[in-house]
Amino acid sequence: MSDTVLFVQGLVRDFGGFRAVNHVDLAVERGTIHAVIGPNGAGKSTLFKLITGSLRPTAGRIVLDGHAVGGRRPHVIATRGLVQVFQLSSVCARLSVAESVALGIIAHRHRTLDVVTSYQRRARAQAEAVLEQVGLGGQGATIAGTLSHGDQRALEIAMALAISPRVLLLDEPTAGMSPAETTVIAQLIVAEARTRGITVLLSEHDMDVVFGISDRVTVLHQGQVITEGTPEAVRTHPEVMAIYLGHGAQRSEGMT
Amino acid sequence: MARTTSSDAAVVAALGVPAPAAPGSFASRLGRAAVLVAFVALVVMLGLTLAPANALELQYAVSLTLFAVATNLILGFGGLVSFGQGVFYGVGAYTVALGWMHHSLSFTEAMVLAPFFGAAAAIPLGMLALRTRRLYFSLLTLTLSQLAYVIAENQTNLTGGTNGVFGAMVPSWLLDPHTSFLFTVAIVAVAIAILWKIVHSPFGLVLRAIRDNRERVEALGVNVYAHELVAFVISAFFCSLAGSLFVVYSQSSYPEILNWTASGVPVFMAVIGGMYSFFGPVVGAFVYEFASHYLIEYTQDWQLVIGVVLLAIVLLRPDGLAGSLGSLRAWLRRRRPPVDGAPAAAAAAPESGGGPS
Repeated sequence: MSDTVLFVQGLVRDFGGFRAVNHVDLAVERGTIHAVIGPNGAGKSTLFKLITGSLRPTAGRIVLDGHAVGGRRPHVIATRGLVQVFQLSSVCARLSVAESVALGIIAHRHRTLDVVTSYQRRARAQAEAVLEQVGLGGQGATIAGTLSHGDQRALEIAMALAISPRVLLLDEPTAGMSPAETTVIAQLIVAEARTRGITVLLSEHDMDVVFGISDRVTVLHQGQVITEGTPEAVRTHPEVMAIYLGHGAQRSEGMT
Repeated sequence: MARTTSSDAAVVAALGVPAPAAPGSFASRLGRAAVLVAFVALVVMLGLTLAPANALELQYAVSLTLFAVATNLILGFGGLVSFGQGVFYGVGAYTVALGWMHHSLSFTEAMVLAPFFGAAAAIPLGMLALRTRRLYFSLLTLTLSQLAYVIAENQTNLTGGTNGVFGAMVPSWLLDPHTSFLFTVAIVAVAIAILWKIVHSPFGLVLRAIRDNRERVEALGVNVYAHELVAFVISAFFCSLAGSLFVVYSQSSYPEILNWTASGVPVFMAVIGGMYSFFGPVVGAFVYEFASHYLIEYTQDWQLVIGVVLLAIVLLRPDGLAGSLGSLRAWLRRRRPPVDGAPAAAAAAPESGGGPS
């Protein structure tokens, strides 16, 4: 099944004289979980921002499901089916949990400019089903800003799922989470990819999570792709081992 | 009372989970509607029994509630602090006045046109102002309101200059204070009902989400700029309607209503009353209007007093009077013994800020 849903070719991004992303190629197959790893400053976040449209590429191509999206505005890329979950928790603090997910449903149904109907109420009722999926069932009335860190991440994933994305882009989905929360989120990601066929592209510090759930792993170092392959192949790749051992052993143990 | 949806049940059906009961029971909504009807009835009865001069003052306060609620659509629900809504209030008033003076428009024609003129003016102004954020947006809208003020004051041939436009632009049946009061209440009630519907529509939810975290909303595929512009135009529409009601009150239009301080008034009202609550600005408008009347008898510097009050609210009670009322209600609920052992919902104030910019 060689069905590439997201295709990145020769992607470059400069910040002044600094080249954060240096001719990166990436091919993400439909329905897979694809991880991008690398030490701090490897260019993972910049790469993700280029893919989501938060940053404009200096050079290179980004193709999403056959459409060139490089340099397009984030909302345009989102409507093409790529939804991101931010690295820092980023919920709408004053909205209730149900309203947050209803927002995604409304966006997905193209009813954001609907000023007359009571569709908001129906979307809130439908939100409960999505919340059930991410383990936030029954919390619909809670104000999003008062949720715990882990629950905010789960809510963000629920908001993203509500627009039925083709590609879910997760920037450090388990950052700052307890081991228990990490397990829940990892299981959630696997379930989404396997049962609903959503393609997941994620960057992650926790190597246990990366090697446990990914189908493919791309290793970035100083803005360049070092290697790409199955978790087993990457884990034993000599250059990867050198990079990680050179940057401190705690990385290979995984952050907990 | 599970709410079943016919056309959009796809999400629910696909996941095989029944739709839960909607929050806000019928009874509680009925209760809220009853309070509202009682409030309007009270205002109407008060207006009809008051002396003509006082009825006129009450009428003015009622028209300002619309100005405040319309401004709060973008302030409290959209997170846009505009000091330029007075421009649209002025467009409304001047549409009636100048339509009468230059084009012999009937009062009804001018009243109907006024909100559309305001909305039309809001399209280019909004497109310009919304390219900036936060403080820069506030400053730019402030500049626009000063610009409008200067135009109204200097284009003497068109606007009558500093003196403005006075004359028999209001039909004689509206000159009786009690009639014009009822007329104003009716228009304001309908307009506020429409704004209520908008706030509770899908668009209203998107607007609140943009206020909290625009990047998040953009990442869900929503064109934030376009939605802010729509909100700005809707707000301008109703600000202009409020402005046309000013002519009903004063039978005139003059540049002072375009001064930047006039643009600040609905913002003050919304903040005093509570900008995160729909009816907060209504409360704020009455409080502001009658407080300023009361204060002016005691001190020339009544605006100083209002300024101090405003500062205290922003520092101590950013949710305004309505927010304080909500906290009080939550506190009372917590004091009541809990039903079937369930802990009362914590009324923790949500984080004040939005997400990272």
